[in-house]
Amino acid sequence: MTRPSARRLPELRLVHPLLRLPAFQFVAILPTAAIVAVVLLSSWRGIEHPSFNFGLMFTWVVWWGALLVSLLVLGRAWCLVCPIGAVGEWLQRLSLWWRSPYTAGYHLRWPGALRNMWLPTALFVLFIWLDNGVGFSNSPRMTAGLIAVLLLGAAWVGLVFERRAFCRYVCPLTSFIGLNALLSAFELRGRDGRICRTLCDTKDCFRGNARRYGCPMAEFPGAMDTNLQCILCAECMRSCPHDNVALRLRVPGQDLWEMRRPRLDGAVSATVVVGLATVLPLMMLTLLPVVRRALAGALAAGEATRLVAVGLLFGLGIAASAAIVYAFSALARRAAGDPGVPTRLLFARYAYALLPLGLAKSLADLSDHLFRTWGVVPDVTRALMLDFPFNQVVPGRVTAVHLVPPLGTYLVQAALLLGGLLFTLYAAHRISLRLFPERDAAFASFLPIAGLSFLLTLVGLWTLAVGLP
Amino acid sequence: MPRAPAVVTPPPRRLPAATAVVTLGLAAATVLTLLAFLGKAPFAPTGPREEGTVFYAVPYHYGFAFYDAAFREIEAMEVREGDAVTLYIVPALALSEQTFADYAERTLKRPMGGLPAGDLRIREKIAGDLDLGNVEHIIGISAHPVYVTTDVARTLGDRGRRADAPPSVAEAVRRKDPTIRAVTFTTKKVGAFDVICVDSGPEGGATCGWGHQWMVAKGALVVRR
Repeated sequence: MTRPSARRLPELRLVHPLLRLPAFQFVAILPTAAIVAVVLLSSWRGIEHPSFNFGLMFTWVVWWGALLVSLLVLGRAWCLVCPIGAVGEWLQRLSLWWRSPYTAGYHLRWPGALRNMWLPTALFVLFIWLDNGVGFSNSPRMTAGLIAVLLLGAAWVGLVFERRAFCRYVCPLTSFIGLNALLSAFELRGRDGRICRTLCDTKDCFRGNARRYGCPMAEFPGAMDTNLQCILCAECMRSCPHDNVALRLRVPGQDLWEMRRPRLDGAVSATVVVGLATVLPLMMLTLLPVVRRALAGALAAGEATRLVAVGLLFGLGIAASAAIVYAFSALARRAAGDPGVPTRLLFARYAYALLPLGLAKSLADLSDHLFRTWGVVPDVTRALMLDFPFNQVVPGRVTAVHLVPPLGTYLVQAALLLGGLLFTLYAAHRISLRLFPERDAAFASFLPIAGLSFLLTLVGLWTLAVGLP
Repeated sequence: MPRAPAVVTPPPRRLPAATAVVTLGLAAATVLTLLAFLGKAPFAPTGPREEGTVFYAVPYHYGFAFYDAAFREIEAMEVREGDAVTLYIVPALALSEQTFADYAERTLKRPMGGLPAGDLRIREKIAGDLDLGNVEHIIGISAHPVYVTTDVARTLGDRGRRADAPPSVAEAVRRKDPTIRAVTFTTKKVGAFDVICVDSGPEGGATCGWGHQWMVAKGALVVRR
């Protein structure tokens, strides 16, 4: 909890009274619940044109963009306001925010074999694969179906298992959001570790008490050293009898090098998240036509061929991403010349350092989309207002407003990627110092990872440049 | 700092009845959602009801022709506020080669895309679009819940034309041609509304090609009090 080596930045005392309000999270969820309801209705019942459907455009441009940006600043703040995870919790607790003396559900423990990031990472990959294969994010009906499946899934898991098992172990976004939340500039942590260790017998922040619940994500704030699973609900703050939990600023990305126990599942998940943004677009651009041609003889033409071809490339791309990071970790070990540090440990630490680069590439992809489709946001809003909330009316022609010309967009994307590269280099440098006490060995170990980061940046710059006039 | 007294907080009491109710409710919600997405729930989106005043619209490269229930060509579809309207969409490409060509010739009578009326390059543009496979249209009526995508490509042969195409709209309707699409809607606003070919993407990516952005029938739906 308290890290002597960590730079302590000020607490945000002004917002503490707000966070301590019993209904804080519920009130925060209300607006998003209303928006999600409109999004669900409009994407399910509304016009199928992607540029007139509020639900579709809001989900894949506005929400996705806001999510990516929020990760950098606020970590898992989306989870705080997400109504999908809240539904299971409300059903389980039989309350919206107050501590109910009763509970519904079966309160089973989540299976031990699934207490990791493998399942959510696989579901995240499944979603991205389906999106690339059948255009999930271009179809209002599929978007509505996805939201409905997530809502029902969260409710069922909340009913059967204890706490927010869905948010922690199932939600397809949890690995993506959790890993990128490590880059955040805020953290909710204990103030003084000695109080948790020696003075507190009840551990109310984890178990709950007569007034409040324990951490819904099953984290013990007294031992929590990363933002990976913290949804900023501040339940620990409200339940702590010692007033020993605070929200404070920190050096962005501090978790990347400060985490005490980097896990292999998290590291592999990080390579998947980064690989999906960097390695995979390269493979799709260069290999997809070849694979589709090769499959054309064996499969019927159309979407099935594309889906299978994309699936093959996804499998290959993910395996390649993990293998590349592992290979560079082996190089880093060899360069450091310290046989006492296994490659596996280097992989488990350095994989996290690549996250800023992955997020920067995702932001770069989004910026292109945002600059090209900006004019659609007023279009969909107009369409929704003409027929609220069903969104079935054609408002007129699509407004095509290119906010920034292609070259300008590319410069913004390049700046984002370079920012991500610098962030990654700094994180890798800090990690190398943590792995090797001697500075020379640390620097030698850092160099191959820096080389990999440059390589991934160049890949990103090249894939973004394809199609430029 | 004083040591906090350890207080044993009893866990919330489990309510089996509440668990049963929530389980049943969730099961019902799951089944209803499934039915809704299969289009079988009572509140699922419905297709055309084929009622009210009937009109026919022919989208062609690059314009529209409109017909009343008796297949007389009309300038505009005129109805009263609150009327139900069923609009049948008969793509020109589903009709015979000569009929399609006749409709396309109407395009030449208008200046389009910087080309003057009668410029033969417009004809070349149409031919070019057909070669590129730009054969569908997305028909919308502004401020109304009309959004219909044609589905003619699968009926076209290797030459891009149908072998046994009906020669006219009336004949296509009589044959219940599979390319005909229908939409039923209720007029709610008074005014004149445009019938447009809605482009397929936010960047103006075209479904029917070069000329789609000029496929606007100004005020072709007139709703009177």
